[in-house]
Amino acid sequence: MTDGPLIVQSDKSLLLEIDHPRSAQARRAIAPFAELERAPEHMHTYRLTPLGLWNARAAGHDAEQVVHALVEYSRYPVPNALLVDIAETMDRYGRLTLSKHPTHGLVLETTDRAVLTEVMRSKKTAGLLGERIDEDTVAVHPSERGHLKQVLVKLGWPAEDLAGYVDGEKHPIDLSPTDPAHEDAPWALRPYQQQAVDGFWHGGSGVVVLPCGAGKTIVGAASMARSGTTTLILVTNTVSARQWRDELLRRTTLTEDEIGEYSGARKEIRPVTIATYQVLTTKRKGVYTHLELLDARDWGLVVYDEVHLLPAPIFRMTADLQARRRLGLTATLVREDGREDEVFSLIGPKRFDAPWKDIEAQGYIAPAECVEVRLTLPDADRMTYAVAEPEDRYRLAAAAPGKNAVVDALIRKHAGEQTLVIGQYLDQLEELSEHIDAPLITGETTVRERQRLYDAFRTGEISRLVVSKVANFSIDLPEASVAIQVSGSFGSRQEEAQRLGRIMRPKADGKTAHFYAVVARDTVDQDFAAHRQRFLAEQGYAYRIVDAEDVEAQPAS
Amino acid sequence: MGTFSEDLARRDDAALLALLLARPDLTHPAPTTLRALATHLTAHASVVQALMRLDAAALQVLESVSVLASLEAGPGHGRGPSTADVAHAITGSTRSTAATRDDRDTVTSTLGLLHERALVWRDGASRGGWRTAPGVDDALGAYPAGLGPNLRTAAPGEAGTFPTRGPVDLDDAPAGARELLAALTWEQPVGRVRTDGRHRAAVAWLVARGLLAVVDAEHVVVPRRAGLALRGGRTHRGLTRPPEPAGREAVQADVDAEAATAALETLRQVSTLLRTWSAAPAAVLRAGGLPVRELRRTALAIETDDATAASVVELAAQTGLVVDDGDDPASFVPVDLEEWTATPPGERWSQLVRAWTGSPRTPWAVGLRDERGTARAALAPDVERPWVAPLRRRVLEVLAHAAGTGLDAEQVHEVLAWSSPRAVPPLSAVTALLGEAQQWGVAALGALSSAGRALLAGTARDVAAALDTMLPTAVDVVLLQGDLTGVVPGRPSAALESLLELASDVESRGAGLTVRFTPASVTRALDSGMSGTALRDALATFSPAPVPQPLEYLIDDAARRHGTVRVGAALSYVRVADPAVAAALVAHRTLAPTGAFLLAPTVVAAQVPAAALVEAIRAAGVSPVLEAPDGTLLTASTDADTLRSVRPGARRAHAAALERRRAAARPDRLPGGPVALAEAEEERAAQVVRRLRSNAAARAAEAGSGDDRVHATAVPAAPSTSTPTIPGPRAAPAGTPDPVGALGVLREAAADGSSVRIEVVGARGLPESRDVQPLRVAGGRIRVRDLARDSELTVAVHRLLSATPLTGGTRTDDPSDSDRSSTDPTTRGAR
Repeated sequence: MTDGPLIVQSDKSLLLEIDHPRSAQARRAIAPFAELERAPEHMHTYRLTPLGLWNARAAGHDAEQVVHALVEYSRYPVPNALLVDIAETMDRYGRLTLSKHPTHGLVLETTDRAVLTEVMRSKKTAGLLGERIDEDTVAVHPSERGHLKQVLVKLGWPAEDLAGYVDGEKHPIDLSPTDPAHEDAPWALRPYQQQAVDGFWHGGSGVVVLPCGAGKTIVGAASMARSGTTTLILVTNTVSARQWRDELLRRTTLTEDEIGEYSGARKEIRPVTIATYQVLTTKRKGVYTHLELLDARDWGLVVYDEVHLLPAPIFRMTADLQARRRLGLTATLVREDGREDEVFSLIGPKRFDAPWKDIEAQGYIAPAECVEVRLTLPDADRMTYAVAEPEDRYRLAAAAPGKNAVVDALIRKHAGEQTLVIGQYLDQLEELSEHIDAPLITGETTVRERQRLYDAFRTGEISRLVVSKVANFSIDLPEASVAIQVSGSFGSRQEEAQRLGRIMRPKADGKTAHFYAVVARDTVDQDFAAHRQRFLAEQGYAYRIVDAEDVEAQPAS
Repeated sequence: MGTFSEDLARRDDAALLALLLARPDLTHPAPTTLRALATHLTAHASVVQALMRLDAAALQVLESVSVLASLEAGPGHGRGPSTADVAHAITGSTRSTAATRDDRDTVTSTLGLLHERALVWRDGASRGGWRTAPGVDDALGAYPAGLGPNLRTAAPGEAGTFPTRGPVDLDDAPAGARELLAALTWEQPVGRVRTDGRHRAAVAWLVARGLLAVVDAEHVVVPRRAGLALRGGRTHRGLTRPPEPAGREAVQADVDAEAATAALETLRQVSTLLRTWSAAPAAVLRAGGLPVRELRRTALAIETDDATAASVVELAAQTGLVVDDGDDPASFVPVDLEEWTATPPGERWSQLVRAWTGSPRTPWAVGLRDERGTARAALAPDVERPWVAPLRRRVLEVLAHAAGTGLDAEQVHEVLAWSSPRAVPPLSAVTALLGEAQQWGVAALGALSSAGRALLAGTARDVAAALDTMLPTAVDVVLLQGDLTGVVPGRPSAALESLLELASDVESRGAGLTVRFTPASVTRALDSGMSGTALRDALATFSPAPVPQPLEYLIDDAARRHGTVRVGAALSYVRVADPAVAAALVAHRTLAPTGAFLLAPTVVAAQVPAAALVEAIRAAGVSPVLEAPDGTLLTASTDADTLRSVRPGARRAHAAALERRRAAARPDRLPGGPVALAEAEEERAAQVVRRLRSNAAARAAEAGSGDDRVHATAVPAAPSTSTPTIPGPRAAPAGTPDPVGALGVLREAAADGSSVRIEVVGARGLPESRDVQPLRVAGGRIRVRDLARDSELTVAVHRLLSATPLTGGTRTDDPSDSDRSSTDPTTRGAR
């Protein structure tokens, strides 16, 4: 017990000292039941939550193993109350099961009548449960399967889902062994990608979290190959849909005829169909017009790209989807409204997670340096800011004219590198686009124009691009190595991380990517920036803070 | 007071001392003569108190002696049971196996204990049978050991032939008789049956044989003698043993680890409490006590719930760390915060728990309603009970005894209930005390920690040392990370802890400590007087890796902004358009006593009211005008009353009062607890014994006879000053002039069945003398049987003048006595 790498805190968090020789073993031991919360440079913080413990039970671990793991690696004696709590929590799993009844369909069964009574009496389960079939069984409305599971977790009596999955229509998909984009050189899944696919498949349904640029699309493709059925892929926008199509053609045995796009522009329903969230949630006269897509084929697998953006209501309504395997892919499962657990209830729990720094250490994403450049506003601007209305303040600070000079200096410093300038406010971006003489992509740019510009950027024809938040995610620009952010959506951590992700593809010469956030000192811009950076800081990407005046002086690294 | 007094008188000093220590109520008020002591001893209240201190086995022995003695008493059977008789009656076996030998040894030693406490006595003159002291039988109740009353059966023929040993012959009993007796043999002697019902035949048969007696239409009772016979001569089924509850296994290392965590948490809570109340003292209710909102505020500050906060507050008060400052309005303020913070943790904890051990406070009652329906407040004067401190000690001793196992509250309660069945402590109190012990780290997992053991047995230094051994070693390292958090991988040392407390916000506690640095927390550190550089250097000392750049930048940024906005106090100001004039004013000597200083180039501030400042400026040759806060000019009236000012004296007075209170209220923080208390008791008891002896010697000398009896009959002169004489119309008669002594004499006679001559004041106010046999003394009345007139009468105690045992002793087997005492044949047999 002495000198272990783990320190157990009284608020159920675990501190893992990375520099300790046994830390890797300890991490493997606690991974099944503890959730990684933060991974800065010295101490990773894990947390014990009821959901995590129940997932461990679902995966076959029992309380004794959990207790043993804690006691084995803990540096100091583990509080007895905590061990008792863990045992009690894990004991609550398994009293309720969701299963398929031959006559009644989906039913909730129990081994403990008191628990079933408590659950049925609770206000939260009103409307989700059907008639009582007998003392130990009650029918469940099929469309409420996910919602019910979420509610049961909140009540503290999780249900083991044994109802299984609808297999769906078979359609052979395999990963292609050679990569046409690289002269048919052989390629294989990276180890963490394989682990992600295994974790997902073993769990049935769930979310895979991988850093930007780590190859989530490939994980999707591999899952499709594993499933071997018709697949519906939901993405954020049309450009992203096209990217997915290209990647699937490259990595799998699918042909062009087998992949269809269902978006604003095209409406093709094929064995593998890629649709946008937007088109599915379109309402005409109060009716969801494109809902029939979900029933068009007997989908065996549904893939949700950037699942942290999932607009919830529609997907709760679709009953049949709940019975199929669902894969969620994202890099950042944090939402400022705190509704991450809705994703879990609709898709499934997190099946794979890897600290960003680990993937970077393995060389699969580029090392990145994050810098915050603090700009002092001139007196006149400060006075304007001081007397402005609260709702105008962020805009005044973020769109300060002084930022243009900083962007200039940074571009000069990284002359010759592919640079992205990202911002929120269109007039600021237009001004910048003119100032540094680079093309601008906003929401108003047509899809064709966007693709043309992205392609030009990829080939190196243009080395600077100014983009609005349309380029926040999914856009794959492999050689972008410098990103300069001038403004964003307030305090969104997820946006910050996604923007960093635009430059995290490993570069040909292995050089470090640079991410700059230009911030006005002593304003709300600075406060929001501190919040935005938190996720990345907790992943190990600590921001170096420099003054705007010192930008020239710093040598490019 | 026949031979009971003799037995008492025969004790040596050491035995008397032991008696007084075992029954401490005897020294309050202190008796001056052995007679008074004996009277006090046999008073109902004292006997009940003594019984409350006996454990279940001792009570069994006492009941057994009472039963056997009552059955044997009488003419020709004046001996009382021997030790062997008692042992047999309880344990049953006469074979000397190891188990029964242990039991018999226990019985023997218990009899010794009961004798020491003057609950039983034996006739010193040779035979040595045990008898219960007067008053004990009454206190034991109507059915000792579940046996019925000792009925003097009316049938003369049966009384003598009824065997006390050997089986009872029920062969030709009618139906139901056996079952009836079986039901009434052991637990309860009284049964409910309709005597004119089904069982009429059985009941009648049994009554005829003396095995049953009818109480009324519905109840029957098995008489004592019959009951004992039915039980085969056994008063109890067996000797009860102290319960050994099977607690769960508790490894000392685990217990110590948990207790160490609890102790550290307690120290942190107390320190936070003191700091919080130092910054903002808590108000006091008019009736004394802490208001609920203050309790809640405190609970928030120390990050716990109301109930825990109440107990922490009480702990601090018991140790003398917070006092009511008695000011108006009163508030609770901490005492000597700096000294407390500088004391090492072991010493601090030692002070806290030693004060706790001896404290009568009941924090678990806080929040509950009292009789009038108001909720009790923490630190209120009525939240205490005198029995709490001894009970606490007993709980800890039970835990100490069960070494290696952890007990829960019910099990501890079970053991305590066995050790004092007549005074079972409430389960809620036991649960609460056990909870407190575990909260402070004295116990954990239901067993005593090493420090807890030291608390029971050792000195203050031992306790502190034991805690220091239990605590994990302090760590001097903090791992600073780029997300502005820091982690201490263990318990931080004192220096590190104070630095982190100052400069960061604690995020997570436990075996390690996680903190987060925010602009607000760093500013707080700068406010305390630390400079930015000093803070960076301090952090660098404790951090093995260099301080991360974001944190350095944060500190520098905060330092840059610190001190740019400043607040000060001034009583009046001067606004001057010309900076030169302002500078000149400040330098002028007439403004020197005003404490004027330059606030800004055109503003001068001063520490005197506006009127005085105006005067001073006028004296400097400048003519000022007065302005109101909104800038309008006021007509120059130098009347000081029109100007608002704050009396500077009020704050000073408050500070002085505080200082005074603190000095006066500084308590002895090391009360010494129960050890000192016990020593005081011993001293007092020894004093009493000395006085008794000297009085007795004086009396014996005065009496001039070698009589063994303590009180000779004729005592005309000089009683001790504390015993008042009741003046009568005649010369002081023979016998005890002390009315208390008279009661004692009567009680003893009632127990023995002997006769007494009493002097009572009759209806006409004249004293009368009667020869009586006392039957019962209770409730301020004495029931006696007048021997001459053979009638019973009741005498009020206040009419009693004196009582003398009839000469010839209390033993009525003295033939001369029976001749003299009565001519009535009924009295002779009425034993």
